[in-house]
Amino acid sequence: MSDNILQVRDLCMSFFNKHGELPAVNHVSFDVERGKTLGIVGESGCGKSMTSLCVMGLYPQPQGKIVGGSILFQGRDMTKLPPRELHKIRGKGMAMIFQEPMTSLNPVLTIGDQIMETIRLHEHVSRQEAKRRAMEMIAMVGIPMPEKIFASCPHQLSGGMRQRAMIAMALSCDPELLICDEPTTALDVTVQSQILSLINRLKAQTGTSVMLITHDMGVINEMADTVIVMYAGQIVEQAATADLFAHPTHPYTSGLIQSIPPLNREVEELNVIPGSVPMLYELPKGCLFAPRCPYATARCAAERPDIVTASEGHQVRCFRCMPGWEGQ
Amino acid sequence: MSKRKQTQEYRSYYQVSWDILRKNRVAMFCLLIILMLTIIAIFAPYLTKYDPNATKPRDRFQSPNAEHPFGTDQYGRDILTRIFYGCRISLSVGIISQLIASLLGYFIGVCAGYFGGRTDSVLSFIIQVFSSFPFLLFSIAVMFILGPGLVNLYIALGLLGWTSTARLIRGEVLRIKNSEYIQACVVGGGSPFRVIMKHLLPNCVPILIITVTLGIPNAILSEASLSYLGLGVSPPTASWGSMISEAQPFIRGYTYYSLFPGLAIIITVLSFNLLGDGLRDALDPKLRS
Amino acid sequence: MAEPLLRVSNLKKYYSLKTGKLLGGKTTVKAVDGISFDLEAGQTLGIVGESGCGKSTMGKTIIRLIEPTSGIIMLDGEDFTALSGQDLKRARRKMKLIFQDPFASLNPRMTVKDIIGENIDIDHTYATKAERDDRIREVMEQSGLNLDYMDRYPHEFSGGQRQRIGIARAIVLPPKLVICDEPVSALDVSIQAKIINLLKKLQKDMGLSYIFISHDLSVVKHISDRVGVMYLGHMMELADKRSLYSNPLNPYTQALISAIPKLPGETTQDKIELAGDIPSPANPPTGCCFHTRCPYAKPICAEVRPELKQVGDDHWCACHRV
Repeated sequence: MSDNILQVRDLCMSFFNKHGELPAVNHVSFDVERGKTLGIVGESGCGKSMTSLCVMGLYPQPQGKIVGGSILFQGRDMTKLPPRELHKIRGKGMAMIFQEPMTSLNPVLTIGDQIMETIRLHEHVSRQEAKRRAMEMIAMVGIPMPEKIFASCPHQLSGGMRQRAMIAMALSCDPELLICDEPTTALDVTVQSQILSLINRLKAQTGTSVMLITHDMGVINEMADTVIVMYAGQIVEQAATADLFAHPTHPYTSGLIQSIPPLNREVEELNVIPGSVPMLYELPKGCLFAPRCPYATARCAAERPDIVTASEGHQVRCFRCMPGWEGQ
Repeated sequence: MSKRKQTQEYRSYYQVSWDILRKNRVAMFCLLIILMLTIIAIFAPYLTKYDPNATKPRDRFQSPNAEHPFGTDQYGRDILTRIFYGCRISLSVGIISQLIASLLGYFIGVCAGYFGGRTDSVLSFIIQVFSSFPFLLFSIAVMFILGPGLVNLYIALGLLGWTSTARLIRGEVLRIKNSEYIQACVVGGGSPFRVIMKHLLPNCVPILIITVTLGIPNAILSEASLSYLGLGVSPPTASWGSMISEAQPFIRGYTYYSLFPGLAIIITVLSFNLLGDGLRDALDPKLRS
Repeated sequence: MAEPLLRVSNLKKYYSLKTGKLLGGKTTVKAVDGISFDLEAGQTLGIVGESGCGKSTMGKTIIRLIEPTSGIIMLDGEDFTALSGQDLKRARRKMKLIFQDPFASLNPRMTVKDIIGENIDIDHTYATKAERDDRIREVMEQSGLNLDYMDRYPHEFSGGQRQRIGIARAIVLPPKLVICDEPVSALDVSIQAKIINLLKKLQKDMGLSYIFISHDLSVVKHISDRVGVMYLGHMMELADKRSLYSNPLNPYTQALISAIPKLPGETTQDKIELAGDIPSPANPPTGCCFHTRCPYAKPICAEVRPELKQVGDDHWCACHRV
């Protein structure tokens, strides 16, 4: 049990605006095991990025506020730490890489300076030592000619190189947890496959745990050990990756998987999920997915289901997995 | 998704802008003042019992009193009446010259931005040349050539105010001319004229509204300066600038004469400037989000 | 054999680019460098490739939104490249474009009705406004748009809805060929599926031909009959989709297919991981443009550019190995 590097329990984060309280992250609980990859998948607006920003303590403030739950990282509750402590954990304890590296790299500093800065921010080392370590990191992420890249500014690099530099920066302080928010969405397929295998290789080398946020089921299948499927701020299904793809149980999960054009066979028409993701200010009263669900009943429209264990290690938020469904 | 909600959310760009503007108290107050000034300008003859130009030597240099709230001038003319009539000149000079300027600025800016290449080089050069003339000296020269008079004043100020509009429009057009909706129009066989009128113009209207609003006070000030120098409207027509000019010899002994037209200029210019700022906040999509 | 709807031969688009050098240094970017293909009526040709491969430029060059540097585009047996003025306008009626970015492709100051009806207004197709509006209603229904939305502005719509508006605009005067430039790349999976289904339905109902440009190989496979793979302005492989996906011959195609993140049950050969990045189109490699990253490169690959050769029944490939 103690091998969970991150324990999120009942996390609730809401935005407050003219519509009132909007639950962007709604009673989310999950664990990240040491050395494992947790995938979070969902469509835009499902709260997957917000969840990761909450874990980092980087959610938009003051519009957003954590209204409940806890985020235990190395036994400490991130939601209760003062900003100074949080700052120490970010970078050293956990690090994050983003979809568009250009926006998270400083355009006027060289890559080398930025990596060295991260190292020296968290560890008291000399400039020489920091430079040596930065060089080592650049070489480790598979950048050819580290000296040249060390002295380059972000805009001189290609998208793939920038993402590598970002990863080098994130890993420079040996974080226990690496949060990757759509790390390859902006990249080409061949470069995406390089970056994904790089993340896997580094994970094996350093023993870092990874939280991978993506909308791509294929990436989840190839990278994650366990998967969380999110919909409208809630976890709707949580299972080991193989289990999830073999037995997608929540209607949203199966709908999502079936709407991807398959590579291995021909289909005449793609499966579609009717309707669209509800806005946070007009969430349905019952199950959030009920208005789009082919199996919805009167009960689904009236009350919200809890997340229940459907089988060993497989949790689903659906009345169909609860005892007594068959009778309806 | 509830349909009622959607209908409620349905607001056009200008409705949203109006909502933002309405919440800006300063801008709304200025708008009120400008509306009042407009009413004064239009209905000036009905608001006062005096003739602005009829001299009455008996009533010279009266201090403000019940008969003449703002006093009278050296010919015994009612200053309030002359300010009302001057309002006509100032507002019409401001508005008409700015309309000429934005029309000119829009078409030159659009042509430079949309056609690009050599057209752009030539037009941009002309813009540069025009904007490097000293404004006042150039308008003095133009007025000198055309001769004093209201219509000439419109033309002179219109000819001079277009460069900043043209530059802003050119930038905006460069930004949106490669938009996919313009490509779609071109592919559908749309002519450049159609693109300019149907796609570029509506997207430039917010800029035009802002430049006109912010250009009007400049034009009013220029009119005042030119009239002060005797190159604006010809006497005895009342204009705020010419009134101050005529009041100059008496400024020590009889301050009211120059005070009231001066205040009128300040209030009008300030109102337009503050309203322009408010409009910019409301209309600029970059400031909005 | 009947004349194909579209025959593109040796299409080239070169840009000249000023280099930073002081004395007028110029380089030529070969965005599209000698592309040829045929497209039969009612068929879909998928074009895949990574960023910078020139696939979007090619699409826009075919419709002459970008003037080609050289090459011939035969549309319906007519030399489209030679047309101008009214003839060009008339011929363009047969071709329409659907764009990638559903946010940038609709004029924010026009209502849905006017956006869709613009092509009608340009061509004065209908004499009365009532007829025009009826036609707009008809295509809105065909595209799955709620008729209540006619007088709304684009900013009130989601990405999927906006893309439907873009599609309605393209088909309001029925074209023969629609060039779809990454039409679903900006959309979520479940919405993507809806748009793809719509495009397929319209193709069946109206007999449209598509050139479907995308970087997503699974989407292209689903919607296309034939698929072309582009790399740095060149066509690397062009084939019937079944033979391309089951038997890719060009090493680039092989790498591209193996790099797709797969779902369980989808055949996975060993991953071929390419070294390095895509070279800059301003400074492409000599010989075969792929030889810098190709696992099978031989000396000849750096010197001679392989031609696109027919290697099987409707299977063309540009590689020295085949």
